[in-house]
Amino acid sequence: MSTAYRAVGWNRQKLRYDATIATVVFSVLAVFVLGGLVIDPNATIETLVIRACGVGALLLLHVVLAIGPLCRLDPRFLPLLYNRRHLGVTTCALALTHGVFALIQFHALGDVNPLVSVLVTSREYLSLADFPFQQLGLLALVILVLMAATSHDFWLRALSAPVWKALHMLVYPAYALVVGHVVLGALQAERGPLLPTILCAGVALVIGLHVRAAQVERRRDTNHSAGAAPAFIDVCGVDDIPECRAKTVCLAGERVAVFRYDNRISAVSNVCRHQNGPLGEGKIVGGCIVCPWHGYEYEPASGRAPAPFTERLPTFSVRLESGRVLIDPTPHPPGTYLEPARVAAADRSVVARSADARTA
Amino acid sequence: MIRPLRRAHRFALGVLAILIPVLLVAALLARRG
Repeated sequence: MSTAYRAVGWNRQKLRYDATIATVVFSVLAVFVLGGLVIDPNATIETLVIRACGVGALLLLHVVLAIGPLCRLDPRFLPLLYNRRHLGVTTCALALTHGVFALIQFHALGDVNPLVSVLVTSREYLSLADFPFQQLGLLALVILVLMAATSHDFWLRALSAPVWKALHMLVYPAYALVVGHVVLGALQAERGPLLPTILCAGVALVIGLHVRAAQVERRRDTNHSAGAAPAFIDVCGVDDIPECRAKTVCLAGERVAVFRYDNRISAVSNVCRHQNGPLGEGKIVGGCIVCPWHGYEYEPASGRAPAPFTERLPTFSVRLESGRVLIDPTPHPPGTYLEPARVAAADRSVVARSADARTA
Repeated sequence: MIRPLRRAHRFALGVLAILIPVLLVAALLARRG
């Protein structure tokens, strides 16, 4: 939670995460290079490195893209999200190695600058079979390098959250470019059905997970968005919110996290100021809301990060009526203290009585 | 997503979600031989 540039603050979790990434990546590369030597003994080591790093980057990009929707569908995947940027930077490093080796192997021996050579060697843009696929890879690599270079809180602050987020949403066009690069390049010379099938399965998985997560979120959002917005909107029953947890509701197009703690209820914006993490999926620890992504903390009644930190969230007025939680969808300015709504015994018993009446 | 995506973002992602599989299948069918 600092605005100054600092190198990665290593902790035990990060070291274990990165050790796991390094072990898996080097194992996959070793298996791929050694397996390549067995299958094709005439292949040069450069060719095998190009193939191994290309496949490694492609696999890792699928993992990176699957983590987001998986976490939306099941919170048990959240530990994977923590430090996802390390996976992204590793993907970029593999793609860069693939690109540099390919540039040296295929474009460095002529009398034209290798980068210019990539751009001018083929211009068959209207042919699927002879499309200049290397240009697609180069463009994807530029995006991945930009993302990796700005994958630090310093750049999040320097660029502002909306610009940083827009830059990192370019991962989706980059993914499309990578798929095009592979299918118009390596797969054009591939005769067997195995590799095309694996690629199709990967694309189907990434798209399927995103569509499924979007469907689930849309259903949640529409529950509270229908109709004209009155001053206070009934969002849920008091007992629908577990102790020290939140219920996330969508009011006037923005998500609001409604927290219950110590017989009190407060509502804040669902969007963490750090990297837009979903605060409503976090919990209250030691009196503070803790973001499930990177542990940023906020006081529920004021939306303020505890001193010396300065992050502030918009807060929302809460009212309790007959065991129901009502929220005013108009946000108060970030950091505005609002007295939490007190949960009286009557609120809980009303809920219990209504539940009894429904089951009777 | 943390907050609902803006309509333009949803549209762009939807276009990509259709375009990628279409291009993938077209390029596979166009393979030589």
